[in-house]
Amino acid sequence: MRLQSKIIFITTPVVVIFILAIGAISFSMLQEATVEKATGNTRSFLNTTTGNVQVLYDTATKDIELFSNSNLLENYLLTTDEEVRYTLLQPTIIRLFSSYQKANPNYYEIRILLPDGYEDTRVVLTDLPNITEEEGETEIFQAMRRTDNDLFTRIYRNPDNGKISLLISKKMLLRDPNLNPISSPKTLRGYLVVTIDLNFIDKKITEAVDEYGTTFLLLDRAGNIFFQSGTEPVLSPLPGKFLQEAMDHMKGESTFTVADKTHSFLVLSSNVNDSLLMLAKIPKNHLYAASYRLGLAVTFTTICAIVIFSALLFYLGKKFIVKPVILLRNAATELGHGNLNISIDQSADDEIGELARSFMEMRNNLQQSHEQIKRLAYHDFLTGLPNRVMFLDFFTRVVENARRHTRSCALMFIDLDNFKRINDTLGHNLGDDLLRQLARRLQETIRKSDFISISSIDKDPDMIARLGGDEFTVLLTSIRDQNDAAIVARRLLLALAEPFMLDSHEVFITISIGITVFPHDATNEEDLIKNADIAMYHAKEKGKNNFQYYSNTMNAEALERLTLEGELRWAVERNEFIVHYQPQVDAKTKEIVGLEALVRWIHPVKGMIPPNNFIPVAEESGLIVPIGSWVMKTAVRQIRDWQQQGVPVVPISINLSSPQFQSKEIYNIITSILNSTGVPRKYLKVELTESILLNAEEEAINMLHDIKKTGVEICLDDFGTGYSSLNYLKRFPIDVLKIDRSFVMNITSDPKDAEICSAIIALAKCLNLYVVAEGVEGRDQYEFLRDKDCDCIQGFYFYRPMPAEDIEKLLIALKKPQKEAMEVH
Amino acid sequence: MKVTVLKESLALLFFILAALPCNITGIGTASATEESENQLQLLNWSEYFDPEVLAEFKEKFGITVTETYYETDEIRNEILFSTNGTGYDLILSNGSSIASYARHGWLAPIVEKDIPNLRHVSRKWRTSFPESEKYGVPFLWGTLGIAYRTDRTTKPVTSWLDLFKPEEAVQGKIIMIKDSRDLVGMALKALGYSVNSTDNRELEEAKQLLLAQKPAVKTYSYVTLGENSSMVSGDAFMSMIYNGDALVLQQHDKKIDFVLPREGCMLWCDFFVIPASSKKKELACKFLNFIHEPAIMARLAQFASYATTNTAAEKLLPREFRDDHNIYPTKEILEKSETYTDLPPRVAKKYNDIFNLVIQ
Repeated sequence: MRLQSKIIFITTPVVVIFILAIGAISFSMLQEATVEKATGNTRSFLNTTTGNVQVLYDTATKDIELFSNSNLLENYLLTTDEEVRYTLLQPTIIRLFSSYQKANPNYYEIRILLPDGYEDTRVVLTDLPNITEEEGETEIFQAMRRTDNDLFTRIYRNPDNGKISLLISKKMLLRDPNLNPISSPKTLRGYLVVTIDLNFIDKKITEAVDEYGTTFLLLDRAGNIFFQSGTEPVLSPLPGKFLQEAMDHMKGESTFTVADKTHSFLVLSSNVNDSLLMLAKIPKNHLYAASYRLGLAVTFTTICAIVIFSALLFYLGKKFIVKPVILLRNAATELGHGNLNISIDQSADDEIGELARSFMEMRNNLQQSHEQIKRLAYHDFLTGLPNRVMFLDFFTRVVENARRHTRSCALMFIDLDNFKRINDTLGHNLGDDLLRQLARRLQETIRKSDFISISSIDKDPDMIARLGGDEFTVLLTSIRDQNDAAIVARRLLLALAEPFMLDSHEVFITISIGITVFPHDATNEEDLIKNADIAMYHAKEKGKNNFQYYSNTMNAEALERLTLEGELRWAVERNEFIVHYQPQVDAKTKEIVGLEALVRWIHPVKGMIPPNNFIPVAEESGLIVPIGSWVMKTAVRQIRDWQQQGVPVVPISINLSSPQFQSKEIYNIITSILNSTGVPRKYLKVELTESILLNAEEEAINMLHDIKKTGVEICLDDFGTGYSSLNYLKRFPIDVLKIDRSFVMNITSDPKDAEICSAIIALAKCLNLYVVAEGVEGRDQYEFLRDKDCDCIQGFYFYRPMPAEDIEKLLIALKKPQKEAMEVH
Repeated sequence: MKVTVLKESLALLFFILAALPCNITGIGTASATEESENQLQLLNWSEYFDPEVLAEFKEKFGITVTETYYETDEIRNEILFSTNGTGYDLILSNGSSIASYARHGWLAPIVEKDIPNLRHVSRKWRTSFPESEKYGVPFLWGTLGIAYRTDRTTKPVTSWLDLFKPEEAVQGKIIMIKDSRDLVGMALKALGYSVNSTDNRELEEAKQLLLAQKPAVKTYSYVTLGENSSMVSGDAFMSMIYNGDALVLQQHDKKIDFVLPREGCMLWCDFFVIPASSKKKELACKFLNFIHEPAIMARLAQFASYATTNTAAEKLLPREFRDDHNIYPTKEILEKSETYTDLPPRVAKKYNDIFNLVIQ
């Protein structure tokens, strides 16, 4: 059973029983109250009516006593002579009785019956027909005569008017006045009979209506019903069984239940006197109807309460117990599946909260263990470098990324040359030490080389790993071309030029490197690894301490570059470079307004080598720095010479390469050259490319500002080819914008390029920049640019780069009218 | 016969006092004994007896006659009933009651030699009622007829039925005597039966006639006689009335006429009787003898406007008095008229029942 089910299973019966109990108790109390109210009203009516009847009896009894004490009546009854009685005396008696009736109209018939039952005197309120004057044989007279008491009362149906009436009579026992008034016996002279109208009781009972359909009955002990309320027919006399039950319960007031064939009744009884009683018969179904309605309401309320409480319990149980437990369970499952990053709420201050805290503690311990295991599993114990497992894992990911981004990456296999010998001679401990130091040095070298591919922001970091023994791998995750790998390889080889200190021994070691390039050599990891291995063996075969590409063409190129680099070193030392100048003309006047200094390498064997062929090598190898400085010195001195010779001079622009810029010496170089030559600042301009600025650090930018402050103007070269961020224009102290030749080239054929040029010029004008267009080779291009308000034109259309002597002549010639200059050209 | 009608409430009060056991008897006895020897207690109708005659009698014999009045015959009966016939020296009674009183032993026989003037009294009247000769001394006689306002009826009244089945104009303006014999008897007479009928069917008819008349009746009582009489004021238009009283009313308003209905009427005669319990029978006889002096009797008859039983006195009456047919009815009427006779007891009871029913 689930926890939720258990909670419901346990709590619901408790709630249900509790609420049912409350419902049952309230129902029973309400029912009791209803029944009490009903029976209370009925009882009070019963008692009142009983009281009325009793008062009637009492009054009648007292009245008849009073009437019978009348001297007149006694005299009348003692008069035996009928003639005297009826002629003389009876009117008096009639008047007497009439006066009684006036006082109490309920006494609608007052009579004197003689002992033989003859109706001697009858006084009635209305002309009530008299059935008979001879009452002697009537049942009621017989009963009157039989009774031992002087007083006789009976409720009966008066045959004269058919009405239920109370008859009360008194035996008139009188002494003969002619005899001894003390000793003579009293003789019966007649009966004084009063018949009393029970109208008001009749009315009271028959009209009694309550909401329960109660039947009120006035009856005698023989079961004769005199008055009855309601329309329900009741047998008269009352069935013996019912009466018997009623009698059995008769003790003053009582309440009991009787049932006939169809209904059950609550019966309230009340004793009027020895012969009369009153009953109230309340049909139980009606009596309880109200409480049934009540019961319905209670049931409804109870059910609602159960539903609400159950739902509440369900909700609370779910919220505070089940849900946290489920969360814990899910977390445990997650943990079991190895997800250690899960976190669960530990704020609860109950047992579940404690459980959650224990769980989290367990998770933390597990995580620590896990990391330890991972480190052990993925890292080399000796060097701390990633091991084979991690390398393979990472390599798969890198290849995948490279494939997705159509990038290249390179894998190098590095093997220590003659490591076995070292191990053997120095021992394994020192061997291990050597491996540790080697690993560290390789790592540092790789880290320093990072800048090579720094432009890729989203690339994975390069990795160096130890596969085992003396085998290492380097993974360059993103390279621009195959040469990058050669550069790194060369640096690694160079890094081992310094000896390692092993227990006071200086040890020189070399390595062999095999390189393979994705996707050039292979497109899956296995082949790449295999290729790298093969390449590494090639390197061993080539005499160790070198690197080899898997591809032969790459090896050839690498060799060529290596050769070039070597020659370039020589060229710097032997000063095989010269500087050419290309004039820049004012677009309007066509006057020469500036020169761009361009370096040329005059190879002793190969002749002049174009800048494109050696500048990249110079940059990679760092030779560009001395070359650049040389160009700068040469150009500045040229100006000074021209000034001294009286040649009219124009400013010269000198290109600054990235390594120059980053060496941070450039400012010092510029200022020292200018100071030493005394050439005014305005004659020197420096040109930077967008890519230099792109990676410029804050320090470099500050330096740029410093240069600017000296008065040297700064040109942004190749504008439009790189990122061409407008932000540069804001951030850097630019004076001149040079539109790249690639735009100018198609300016007349490609409307888009034309638009771009127009836009750049317009933009520069807005920013108060001086615009130079380079690579202008035709008249159309020139005119277009001129029309677009370009300031300055550089290109073959006007001048090619020329040696200083030619420029000198040109500048001198320019002193002559412009027209002649054009002719010279 | 002159009658003063007391208010019913007074009667009732009296009745209740009478009903109290012993007291009245005691007081009555005490008062009688305390009075001087020369005093006579007379139970009588009110305004029936000329006070001057009483004054003369006192002057002549030194005997004071003190009157106690009753309103109806039945009240007189009650008074006597409550005292068992004691407390009085003289009682004026209607003729039909004498036999009952005598049977009750309440009366003393009349000794002729004690009242010499009895010789003037008509034998016819002396013997007109059972036991009247033995126990009674006749006084005045009269009839019972109808008084009515001639200006209020559409036609002259001639029949008892004009009273019992009255025309629209007099509805609610009728006064009927509150007496069982008079009410039932005249109803019987109206129906053409004897006033002494014992026939149940006739009595039942009479009862129905009376009950049918009841809504038209203003009151069951005796009409007042003075200037303020309802007949004079117009509150009542028609009434049963004794002939002499009608004559008194006529003196106040000539528009009031008296008629003896064509069916005949009831003849009555009042008698003086002497209770057996009286200690002053001698004085009583002296008084009776005095009033039957013809000259005295003539004055008494004229005072009350009724015919006298004393033939000698009759001769002394003025002619117009003697010729008044309202006082001395015609022979024709007299032939149709009756006196009340004793009824069998249970018939009397029947009369009582009817009367009681009607006056309620």
